Amino acid sequence: MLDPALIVLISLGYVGLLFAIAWYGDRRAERGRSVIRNPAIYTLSIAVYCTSWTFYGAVGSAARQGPEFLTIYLGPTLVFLGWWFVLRKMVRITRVHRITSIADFIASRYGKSTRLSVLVTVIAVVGGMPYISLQLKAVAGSFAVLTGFDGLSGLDAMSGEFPLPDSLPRDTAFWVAAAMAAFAVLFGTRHIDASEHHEGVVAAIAFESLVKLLAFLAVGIFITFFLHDGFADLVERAREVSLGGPFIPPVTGDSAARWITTLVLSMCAVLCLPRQFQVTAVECVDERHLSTASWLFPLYLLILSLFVVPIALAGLVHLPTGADADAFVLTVPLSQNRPDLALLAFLGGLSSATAMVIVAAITLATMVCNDLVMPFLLRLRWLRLTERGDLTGLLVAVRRASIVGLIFMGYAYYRVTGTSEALASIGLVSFAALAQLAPSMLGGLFWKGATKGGAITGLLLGFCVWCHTLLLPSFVRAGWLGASILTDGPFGVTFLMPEALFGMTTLDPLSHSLFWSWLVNIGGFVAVSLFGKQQALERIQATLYVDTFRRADSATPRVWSRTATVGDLLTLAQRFLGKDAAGEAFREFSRSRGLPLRRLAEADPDLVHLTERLLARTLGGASARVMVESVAKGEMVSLREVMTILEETSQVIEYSQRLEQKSAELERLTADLREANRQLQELDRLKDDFLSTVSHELRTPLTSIRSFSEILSDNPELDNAQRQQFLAIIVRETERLTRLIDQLLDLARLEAGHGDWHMDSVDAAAALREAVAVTASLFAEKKAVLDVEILLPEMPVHADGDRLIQVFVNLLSNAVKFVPPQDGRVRVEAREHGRTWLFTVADNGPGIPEGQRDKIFGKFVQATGGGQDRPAGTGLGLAISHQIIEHFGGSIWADASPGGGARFCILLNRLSQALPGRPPPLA
Amino acid sequence: MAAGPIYQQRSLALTLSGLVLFMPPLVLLFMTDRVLFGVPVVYLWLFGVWLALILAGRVLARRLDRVARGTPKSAPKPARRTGADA
Repeated sequence: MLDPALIVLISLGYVGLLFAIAWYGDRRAERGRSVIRNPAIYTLSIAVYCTSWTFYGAVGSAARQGPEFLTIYLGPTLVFLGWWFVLRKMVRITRVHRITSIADFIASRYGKSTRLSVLVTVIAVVGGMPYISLQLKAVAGSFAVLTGFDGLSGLDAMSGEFPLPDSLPRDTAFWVAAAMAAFAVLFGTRHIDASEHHEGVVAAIAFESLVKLLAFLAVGIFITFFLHDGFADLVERAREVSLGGPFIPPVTGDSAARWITTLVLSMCAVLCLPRQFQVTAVECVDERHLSTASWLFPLYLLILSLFVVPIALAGLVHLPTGADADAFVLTVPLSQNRPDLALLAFLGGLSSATAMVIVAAITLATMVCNDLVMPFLLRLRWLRLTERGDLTGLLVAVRRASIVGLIFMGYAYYRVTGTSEALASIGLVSFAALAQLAPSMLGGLFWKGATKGGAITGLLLGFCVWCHTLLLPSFVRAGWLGASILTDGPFGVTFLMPEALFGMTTLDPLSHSLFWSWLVNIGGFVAVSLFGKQQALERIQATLYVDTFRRADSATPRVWSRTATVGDLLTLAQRFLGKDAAGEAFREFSRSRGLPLRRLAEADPDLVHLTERLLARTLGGASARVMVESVAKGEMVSLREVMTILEETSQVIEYSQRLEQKSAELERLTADLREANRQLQELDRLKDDFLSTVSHELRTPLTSIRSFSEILSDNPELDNAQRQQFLAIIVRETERLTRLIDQLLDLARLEAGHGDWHMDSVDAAAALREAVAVTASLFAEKKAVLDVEILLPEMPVHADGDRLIQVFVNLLSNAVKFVPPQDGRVRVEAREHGRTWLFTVADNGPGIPEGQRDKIFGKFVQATGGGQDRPAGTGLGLAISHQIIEHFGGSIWADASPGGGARFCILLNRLSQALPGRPPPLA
Repeated sequence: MAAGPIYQQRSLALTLSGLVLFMPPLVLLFMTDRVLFGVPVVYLWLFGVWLALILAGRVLARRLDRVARGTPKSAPKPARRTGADA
């Protein structure tokens, strides 16, 4: 039996120490030297997760249900191991968007919806109330155990029906609640500042996390290593004591569902509990601390859980059957006459309870103030709040009232529900309520298509099912409602029985509730999201949330086209932030812009946005939006405007694509031009060559004509024979000149395509025979042998008969020119060659060197076989022949004849039938 | 930075494997009265896996931290304890 006065004194001293730490933390923060800027302290503040439910309840749960208590700590371990994917995103979004609470977080995601933030706040308050009452119950119960322990009585004070004191002043829980409310009011709402960090509170709860860990370890180590000889000894003793049954109730196949349920619930809880969101995301001063917490927090949980089972076993061993397992942490040391240890354990339990109540109260009060009370007050026109001056006082007052109200609501819940239930089951009811937030929250983080309608539907449905399946039964157990609801269903409708909905009896009540509530929650959320529509703001926020890490600057894009006067905005900000803070923020803005604010009558969208961000820090996103809209004219850019912007953008893109095409075209054109230029230059060069060749060719006969004419004119005494000879030369050269000019003109006409063609079906064999006849005299003159072999009587082709004869005559006269003076032989052949006729003229002259065979068809090119005399001729014959044969669609080429001389070949397309007078088919 | 994705994948794999190791039916295998080294096997299993996950998580957290800061492996660590001079 411990003296109550001593316990009260020590408790007061402890609370005083907390005040001092919080005060110190706040003072350091004001000086800019934060004490909580440290990953270890951040981790300890997250350990507010371990409440008195852990401190007392885990042992009770271990004694009753075996290893199941561990799931409550394994769940957070898994969430923190996967910090990179969920927690990091959550913390980043909270920092970037100045989120103040989980209600703000969810509401901002779905288009800063006020209705959604109200809904989340209601769920958080209703779900959190049993949890707060659980802490009060634990502290009151532990106090009763300490003061009432004499031998064995009072052992069941924690979960048994220990009598509630009739008058409030004698109720420990009342004073505990009052002290916690005072602390939370003092340090949770000391100022409405821009950062919304409660450094003093965080420092205090970090300290409390340390105290509860050390206290629990002290009791555990005492029991394991001083009272017993290590774990094995304790297990052995427990085995002896347990009568027949297993000493630790194992989880079997039947309770596997409950195992999964509690694991999943605790995973959701560490994300969705308002106080966890507060310490993990809102109070996070440095994102990098998260990586340390990701393993340090699980380690904290592991160390804390290490001695849960030993204490539970020791309780079963040393205390009589039926003793309250939730109080083992206190009663085992007491039963071993170690009141000092029991007192330390009491302080640990007090730490865990006060830390939770304080953080939960501050968090919930922020939500109630920002998302419930202020929007409501601001909508009451008759209060004329929007026209009043400084509202910071009102804000602080509302928050303080909310804190006190919430804590005493928890106290009231504790008074009316009584003390019947075990700590763990109350905690799990709370977890199940807050787990309803998980689908909207996680869905909003990773699914852009999630809509406001979906979130509201899911939350409403899930919360209703939770109320029906978990809250209602707890009311029944508290004696408020008739037990018939549980056994027969509401109004006798059996398939609506709260713990066996639609006749589902295979699951335990908790799993049953989670299954049905999540079924309708997730189902409604997904279905309404899939079939609903998102508003523009929702879509923007969805992108900002889901793509947090993809954007370089994560600030809200300026899609707002709102304007307001600077004066209006400043007044608005001053109302909620106070004169100094608002003025400072605005001056900072004008400095960064380099513009004095006085010169700006109309505020630009940036300043409007800044004001909204400033307000969001204190009011939350939804309320801030409403407030800014009250002074800012204009609205969200409408869908049509967005479409216009999009259209303009796509036009610009299209335009630039067209420009690109144009430039590619230009490049191509330039290349073409360059090529054309190159060809022109080549042609120019060819023309020059041609002119010089022609002038040379013309000059040669002219020169000889002139010189012989001069001789004749200067020497009249020349004899007649010589005169005749000279005159003959002049005539020959003149003829040659005429022929040359004729041929040049002919070639020019051919090349220009102005040739005078008389195309008809003609007999090539006849043309060849005629050419042979024409040139016969040349052969006779040179005494050369002409050998003609025309295999077919008729070889019809589509051609101009005269031109064809010209070609053959040219080839024959060329041949006879080159044959040797003696023993000259020329062989002409004409035969069938596939679908064509082949004509060859071969001589036994010097032949054409291989390199010249292609060039020979050029203008003024003559075969110069080995430095002999220049043969007579103009050098244009073959060029003309080439043109003619090309025109007929045939081909002509030169190669070596079998006898060593030159051979010219011509291929001409055959006509299938040659019927003179009928138009030939087009070749 | 190129090593970032692989650490993220490992981190995801670690979390998921933890989920499987802590869940029925695997955990039911150890729910017996059997005792090893004086400790029930179920606690050996749960605490053993737990500790292993924490140690692996710590190694990965450091790597991921480096990825997030974009500092190369050899760079000196930025002072993490600024402000912890209390």
